Amino acid sequence: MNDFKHTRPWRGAVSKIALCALLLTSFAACSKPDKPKELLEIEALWQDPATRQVKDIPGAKTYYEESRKFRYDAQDAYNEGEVELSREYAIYSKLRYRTALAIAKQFQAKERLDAANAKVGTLNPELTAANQERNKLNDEVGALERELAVAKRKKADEDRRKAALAKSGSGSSGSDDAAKTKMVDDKIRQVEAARNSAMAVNAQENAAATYNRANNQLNSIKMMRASSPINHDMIMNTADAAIRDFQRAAQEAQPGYKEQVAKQDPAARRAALMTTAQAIFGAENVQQEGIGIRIVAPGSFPTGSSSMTSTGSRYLEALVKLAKDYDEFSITIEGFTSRGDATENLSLSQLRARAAEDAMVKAGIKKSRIETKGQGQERIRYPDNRSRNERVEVIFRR
Amino acid sequence: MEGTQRRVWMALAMIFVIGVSSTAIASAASRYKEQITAFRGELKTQAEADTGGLAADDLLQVANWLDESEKLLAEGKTDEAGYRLKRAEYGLDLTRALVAASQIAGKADEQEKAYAEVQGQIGKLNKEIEQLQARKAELQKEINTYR
Repeated sequence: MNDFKHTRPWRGAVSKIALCALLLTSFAACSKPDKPKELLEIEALWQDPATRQVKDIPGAKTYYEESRKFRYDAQDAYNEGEVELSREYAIYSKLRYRTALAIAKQFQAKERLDAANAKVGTLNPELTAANQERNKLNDEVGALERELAVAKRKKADEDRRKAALAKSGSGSSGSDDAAKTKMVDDKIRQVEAARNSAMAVNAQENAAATYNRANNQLNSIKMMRASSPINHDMIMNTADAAIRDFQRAAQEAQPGYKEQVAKQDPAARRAALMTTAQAIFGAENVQQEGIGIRIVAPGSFPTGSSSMTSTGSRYLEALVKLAKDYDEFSITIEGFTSRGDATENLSLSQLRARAAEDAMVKAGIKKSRIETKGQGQERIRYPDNRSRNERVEVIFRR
Repeated sequence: MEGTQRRVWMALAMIFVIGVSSTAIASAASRYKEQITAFRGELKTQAEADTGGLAADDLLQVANWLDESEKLLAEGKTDEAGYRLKRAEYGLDLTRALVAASQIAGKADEQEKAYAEVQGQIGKLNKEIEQLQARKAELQKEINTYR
């Protein structure tokens, strides 16, 4: 019993110590590490009522919700003692929250942009209208300024005329004017004479540009002469220029006129054509027939064909040149063949004449000048040389 | 005999588990590397678009996270590298939104400026119109004196 009493206080002390140790251990087990600053930050952020307003912005809601979820994850991780994971989630939460905020800013900026666009849109019609009004007034003012200038000039002319009239009663200005007007009239007659000279060489056709310019000047002179008061100096200057131009037109027209004159003599033209044709085709192939010159192109086609030989093509080129140089002549093309079937040859000769006509038209000769005939085998020109009879003959008439 | 067989199966199963998990780790690492490359490209694009420099700090932070992620991958710390990449991904979302907000705000500023300019132009035109109207009246009056 004594032993028991003696040992009892020791046992109590041990129990107390064990109890304390147990309490300390359990306290230590229950105590948590400090919250990471990222979590504290995000908690403070979520205390702010303004934070919740972000979720109402279109497009920001998703990020807002994600941020909230990460905040809870961070909280849970911390509660489970996983501090690093808690920090990570807190960082995500903050990034998502800031993204939501940036989208809210986008939204606000967009609203501002739309408002500004709308305002500019309302002003544009006003700007256009003001521009139009300004331009219209500018035009009106310009027209009025011109009108005023004309009115002022007329008034000045009127004043001068009145002053001249007033003077004419006492001075010699009236007789000066009359003398000048007489000079003008004389000059106009000179211009008309120059025009007649130009017309005499058909300058209106052979030197049309120069003649027309001079003629326009003459018309202007006549108009100026008819107006009042007469601007003598201007008329005299213009008349001199018109005379010069008519004279120049007459000179320019000379070569063409000479050619025209030459063309007016048919016999001389026929003689010239004859000479030229003989030089090309040989005298034996060129004959005069009344008012016509007949040119024979022997061997222009192969037997039985209406396609020209190379000789035929060369003849045709020469015929085209003659037709161009003697463009006042009408042209008759006659086709011929050597002997054979009369009906077939008549048809073939017509085809040959037409082939020659087509070639000439292609080369630029007017179709209206040309007539074609098929003579068949009727006129055998070369009894001893069959191939030379395969030919066309062309008659230039005037 | 039965015990030996069980042990062989156990060993095979373990080898399979180790093989599968190491393959998974390797594929995660290569996926992260691809992501890093893609994020760097995106980072460059955004840095070019951020003419106002509004997202400059965040872009720098994203660049750091990508560097860290690369380093962790090299050290074989795949999970940590994944966390950094997640930060970088969210960081890029943020910078994209910041750059866009800054661009829209810039356009809004321009339009507001244009509005003010148009207002000024209209004022100037109205003044011109007034002057022209006065000149027109004056000219008409003068012309009438010649009629």
